Amino acid sequence: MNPFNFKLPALVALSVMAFTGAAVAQEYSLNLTDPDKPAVIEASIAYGAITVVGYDGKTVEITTDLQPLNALKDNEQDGVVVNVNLGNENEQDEHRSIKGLKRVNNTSVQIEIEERNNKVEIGSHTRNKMVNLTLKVPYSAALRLSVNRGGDIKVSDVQGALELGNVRGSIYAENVSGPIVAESNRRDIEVSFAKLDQSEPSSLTSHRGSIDVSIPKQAKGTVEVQTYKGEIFSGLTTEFVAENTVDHKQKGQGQEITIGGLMAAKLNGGGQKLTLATFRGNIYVREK
Amino acid sequence: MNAQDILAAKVAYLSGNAQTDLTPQMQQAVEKDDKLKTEIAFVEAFWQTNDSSAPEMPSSKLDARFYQMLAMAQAAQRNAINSDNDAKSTDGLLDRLKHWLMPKPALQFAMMAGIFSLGYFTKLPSGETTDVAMNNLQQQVQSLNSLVALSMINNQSASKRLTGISYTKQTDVSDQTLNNALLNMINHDKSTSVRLAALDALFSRGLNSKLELDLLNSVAEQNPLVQIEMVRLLIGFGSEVAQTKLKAAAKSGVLDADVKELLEQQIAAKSQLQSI
Repeated sequence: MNPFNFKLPALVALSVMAFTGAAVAQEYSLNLTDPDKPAVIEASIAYGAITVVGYDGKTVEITTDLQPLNALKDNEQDGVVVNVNLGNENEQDEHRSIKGLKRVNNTSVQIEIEERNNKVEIGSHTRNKMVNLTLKVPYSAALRLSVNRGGDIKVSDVQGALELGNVRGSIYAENVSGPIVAESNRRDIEVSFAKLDQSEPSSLTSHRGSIDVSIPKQAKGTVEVQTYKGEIFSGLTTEFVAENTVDHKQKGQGQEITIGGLMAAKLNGGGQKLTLATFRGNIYVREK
Repeated sequence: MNAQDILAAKVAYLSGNAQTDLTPQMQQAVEKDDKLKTEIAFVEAFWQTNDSSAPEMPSSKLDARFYQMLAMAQAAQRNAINSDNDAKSTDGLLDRLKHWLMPKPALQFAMMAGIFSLGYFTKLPSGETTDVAMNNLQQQVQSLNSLVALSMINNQSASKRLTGISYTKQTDVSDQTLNNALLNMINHDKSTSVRLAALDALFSRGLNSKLELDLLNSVAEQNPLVQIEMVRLLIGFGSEVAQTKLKAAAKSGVLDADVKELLEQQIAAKSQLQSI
C-alpha cells in the first residue's frame, strides 16, 4: 500500500528534512470521503506558489517542492551577516557578528494536510523555504487558494468555484468557468473563461496590478469595470456604457437610491455579473 | 337544482362565502334524499372541526367524534361509488354518445373554467381586506428575503456572499439587521470585492446618520480601493458632516495619498456643481 495514500479522515502533519540545499519534491495521493461529490480544496502558503490543474480523477494528487531561497542568500562579509533577505523581517540581526559560529541550515518544513468530508485543507506557514505546491484535483473541485509572498497562483481546467488571493504575486486562471473571486495586491490577474457561470457573480480586484480577462464570444453576462488610475481596453463586440444614474425612490418604510459609477457591457443580452476593479492597473477585456 | 347545487350552497354557507343557509326548498330536497342527507351531515361535521374556537384537548369524546366522522366519510364515499355504479348501469346510448363527443380534456377544461368563474364571482368584495392581506404577504416575503440574504452573506464562499449582497436589494431597506451586517462586511470581510459590493449595497439602501458615522470612523482602516469608493460615495451622497470629517481625515494624513488627491478633486467638483 502506498504509505501516502491516506485513509480518511486524514490529518497529516508532514515534516520534510532536506539535508542538502537542493529542491525536495514529494508526492501524495489523497482519497476523498465521497469521491462522487465535489471537493473543496483550501490551500494557504505563507511563502511559495500554488499550481492547480483539474483532471478526470477522483483523488487529490499533491506535490510539494521545497526550494532554498536563492534570493535570500545572506551576504557574509568579514564574519558579519548583512541581510539582503527579502523574507527575514528581523532587521535587528543586521550587522550582528557570526565570528566563530557555524551556519546550520534550517531545512525543516512543515506542511499540514487535512481531509474531512471532502474538504481538503493544506497549509504551510514556513517562511525560510519556498514551498511550491502542485495539485491535481477533480474537475468539479472548488478552490480557495492564498499565497502571501513568493510566487504565483496558477489554476487551469477547474469548473468549481474559485477564490484566489495573492498578496505579492500574480494570479493566472485558464479554462475556468467560475464563479471566481480573485484579488491581487501588487501583480496582475489573468483569467481565461471557458464560460461565465450564471449561478453566482464573479469579481476580480487588483490594487496595483492589471486585470486581463478573455471571455467566450457566446457567453452571456454583464461585465462591470471600474478603475481609478488605470485605463480600460476592450475587444468586446458589445460597447461599454457608463452607468451614471442616480435613482432615488421610496421602498417600504425606507428609501432606495441606485448609484452608478461603473462602466458596464451586457454580453448577449446580459446575465450574471463579472466585476473587474483596479486601483492603478489597466483593465483588458478580450473576446475569444 | 340538483344535489351538487345544494352541496355547493352548504359549503358556501359554512365557509362564510354566503350569508344564508339552505333555502326551505333545498332543505326539503335534502330530507327526501338519504344520500344527500348523509353527505350534508358529513360536510357539516368536517367544517365544524375547522372553527375558530379553542382547540379541544384529547379525550375519549374527541376520539369518538373522530371515528364517527371517519365512518360518515366512509359511508359518503361508499354512496358515491354506489351512485356511480347505478349511473353506469343506467347509461343509455345518449350518455355514451356524450362521452364520445366530450372527451376528458375538454371536460377538465370546462371544469377549470367553471372554477375560475366561480372564483371570479365570489372574490372578496372588500378592497381594504385584500390590501391588508397583500401587505401581510409582502412583509412575509420581505422577511424571508432578509433571512436568505443574511444567511448568504455569512457564507464562507466569497461568491455566495456577493450573491447575498445582491439579494439585499429585494429586502426592506429599513431592516437594521441587514444594514449592520453590510457594515460589518465593509469593515471585516477579507475580500475587497465583497467589501466594495457591500459598500454600494449599503449606499443603495440609504444611509442614516449612525451608519454614516460608523463608515467615517472606519475609513482610515480600509485599503485604498475601499477608501476611494467610500470617499466617492460619501462626498456624492453623504451629509455635510461627512464632508467635514473627510476633509479633517485628509489633513491628518490617515488617508492614502491617492485617496487624498481624489477626495480633493471630488470636493472641488461638488462645490462647483453647487455653485451652478
